[in-house]
Amino acid sequence: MKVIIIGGGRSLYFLAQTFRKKGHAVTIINRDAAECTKLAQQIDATIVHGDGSDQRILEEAGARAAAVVLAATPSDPDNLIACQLAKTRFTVPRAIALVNDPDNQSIFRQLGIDAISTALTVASLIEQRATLDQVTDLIPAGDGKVTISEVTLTESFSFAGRPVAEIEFPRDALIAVVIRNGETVIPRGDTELRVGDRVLLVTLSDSHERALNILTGE
Amino acid sequence: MKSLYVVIVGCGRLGSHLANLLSREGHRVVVIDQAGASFGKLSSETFSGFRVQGDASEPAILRKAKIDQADLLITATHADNVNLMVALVAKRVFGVQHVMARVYDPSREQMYHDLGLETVCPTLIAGEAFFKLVYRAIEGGGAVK
Amino acid sequence: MVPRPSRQVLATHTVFITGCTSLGAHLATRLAGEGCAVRLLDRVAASFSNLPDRLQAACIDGDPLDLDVLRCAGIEKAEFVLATSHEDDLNAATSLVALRVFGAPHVFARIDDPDRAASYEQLGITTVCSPPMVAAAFLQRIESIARE
Repeated sequence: MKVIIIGGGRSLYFLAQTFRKKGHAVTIINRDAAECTKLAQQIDATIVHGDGSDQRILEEAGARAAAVVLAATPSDPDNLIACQLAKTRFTVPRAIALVNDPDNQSIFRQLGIDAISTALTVASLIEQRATLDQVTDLIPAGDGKVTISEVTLTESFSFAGRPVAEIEFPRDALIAVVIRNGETVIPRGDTELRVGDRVLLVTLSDSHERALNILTGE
Repeated sequence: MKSLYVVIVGCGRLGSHLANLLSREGHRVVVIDQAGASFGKLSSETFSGFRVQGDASEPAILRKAKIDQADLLITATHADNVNLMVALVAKRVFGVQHVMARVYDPSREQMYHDLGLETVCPTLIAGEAFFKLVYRAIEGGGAVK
Repeated sequence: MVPRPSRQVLATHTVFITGCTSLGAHLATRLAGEGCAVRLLDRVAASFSNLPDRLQAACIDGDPLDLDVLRCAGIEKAEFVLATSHEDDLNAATSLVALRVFGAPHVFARIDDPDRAASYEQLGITTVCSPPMVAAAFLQRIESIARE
């Protein structure tokens, strides 16, 4: 697949390298002539010097054949316009903007542009890790829509000793497995959960936090 | 003539000119600009509106200007992409009824017409003035000097 | 409206444009498309990258105040000199050189500052000052919104 990346800097260089290693064709659009020369020496990618929010430059970079355009400049307006052009003028299947102002993540999505905020993503990952020492695994599955976690129940779990059916769990959350004293149990409605149990929790992303809060007693 | 709540983004020559004029005509005007010094172009005699310093491509700044109450938003910064993004956000996200953007690059203007934005393109306006001078000179056989 | 002359008539004219700005590029593209011979001069060669690929025009990089550069770029053959850089003073100076040194028949200059435009007009330069026209375009529309 052909990937166009607009922007520069170290993290973008590594991103481009990652795509290359996976066998994708990468084109980088960068406004800075000196950085273009450097990139051309460092990476096996097509480098286009110019403004990625300019239709002519996108065309030159081969936007017509691109499967993905990733706009990751330090300017949110430039990223929005580049994605808008990629979608409307070149019908690129996926145009993704890396937004700088976290507020713009939801704004861009309302405008129909896929947006990722590094700040929000990192913050939420750190939050999940920091508050949940007892959560040993966080595996995103199903395109990031499903999360699988392993949680150890502590004294703060308020439903200890009571059957699973009584726990006020969100609809989109499920306790799939309970590990107790090395034994694995598939829980049913009448299975009691105890302090010290390790449970495997499967949730849709929206319900993940609420389900975790119930299990950890936060 | 009803009084409008107008948000103007960019306090350059055009933005400040419109702000002074509209404020004098009795419209409620808020001007947003990144550089505080630009507000010096607002006339102390005719401008009675508000000033918000900040980057209008940050939604928080638009909210500070009470964008959701605006009847009209005008974007007149020197960067086309900023003008277009702010206009698009005002219209689609904050539901501002009338939105006008200044856009220098004619090829971008076309795309934003397609997206339903009103734009004014100085390049096309100046271009028309030049074409008129050239055509008139040719038709007049060199009468214009 | 001033009618557009026919293609045959336009084809007999050479237009010399200084400054490959978005305005310069727009004028070059349309006039070349209508049949004029177009020559473009800009101090920075990279400026020509904003021209469409198929444009039939001669692009020369050099200083628009250097007489040798102007001569080599063919200003003497041009009926029209259009000064369209971003700098008012440069456009005024280029226009004066075109008029007084090369005797160009028609010289039009982009001057963005209305006060300067007025004083340059007194020097015999025909100016295009678009900011007031742009403001008028906005005001016309705003008035109709306020009347709704």
